[in-house]
Amino acid sequence: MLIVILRAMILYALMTFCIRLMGKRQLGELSPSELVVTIMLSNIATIPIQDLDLSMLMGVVPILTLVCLDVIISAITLKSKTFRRWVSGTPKVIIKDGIIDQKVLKDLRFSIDDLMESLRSSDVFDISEVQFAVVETTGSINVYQKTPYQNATAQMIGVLEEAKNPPQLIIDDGVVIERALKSVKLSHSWLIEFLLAKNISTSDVFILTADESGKTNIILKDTI
Amino acid sequence: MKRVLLCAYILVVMIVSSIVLLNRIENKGFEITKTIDNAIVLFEAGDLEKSAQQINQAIQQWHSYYSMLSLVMPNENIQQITQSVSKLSALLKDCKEEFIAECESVKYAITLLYENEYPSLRTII
Repeated sequence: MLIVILRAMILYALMTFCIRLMGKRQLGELSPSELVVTIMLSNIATIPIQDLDLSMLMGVVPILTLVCLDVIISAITLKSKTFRRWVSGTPKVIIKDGIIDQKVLKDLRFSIDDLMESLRSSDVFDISEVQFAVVETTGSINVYQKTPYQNATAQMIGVLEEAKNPPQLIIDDGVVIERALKSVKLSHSWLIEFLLAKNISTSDVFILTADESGKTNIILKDTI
Repeated sequence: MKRVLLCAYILVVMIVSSIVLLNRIENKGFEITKTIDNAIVLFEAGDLEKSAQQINQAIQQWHSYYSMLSLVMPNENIQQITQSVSKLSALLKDCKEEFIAECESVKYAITLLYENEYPSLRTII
């Protein structure tokens, strides 16, 4: 029993390390090779926990091998376009100027229901509204609508403002985040003056956000 | 890039460790086989005392071999050999004919263990 607990703990740590090693890309959309690795990892990791007749190395070695191969292959795909095409495939244009490419649809073994479902998830209910739809290597469909059907942007309606960075969290539960203060180009003395003006100390603040223009939003701690 | 280098390093370490382990399995297996061969020769020459010493040595060698093997293969594959090795002393004392047969069976099983670990087309597929 104790062995199972220890093995589970070690494999948990190893899997966490492996997912970190595979990088943030892994947590989002999965490319074919990443999908293979993820499915295999989840199966392999449980075997040495359940089967005490197997040494834990029999689980650790294939896990590390798969993860290392995945990272190395990802690095090669970054360098070589041919290899990338070979491993991940290429995006395919499935709708062009409102017309479905039926050959591509057949090649990808997509049913019209699959296609319509993907279009609906992009808020498109009429194929004729689509200028361009691409099936990405991850299997997701990205849609570019014809201009009359696109949502109006600030530029389209002539509301042009200078690009602004979003507000940053300056105080988090009484703790000043110096890095955030620097990123909005505000000084520590500005913060002290700001807090003095409000007659509060940092320890009274639950959340304080600020942007580069000095616009702030403050939430004080509840007195429970 | 650091991540790729770390992965390459882990992969190289694992491959080198596997080769070293395979080499040690071969050498240890060879040692045990040799000791058992000596025991058989001494047994056939009628020197039971020295034969018994050789068998005890083989049992000790098997013990350390077992620890190494259990890292790389399922326990059930090596349990049978452990049982055969543990019987050898008793068989030798009784001077039974089965002693030599059991020794040969252990030697063959040890050879098979290495062959099953060696990467070849048969073991891979």
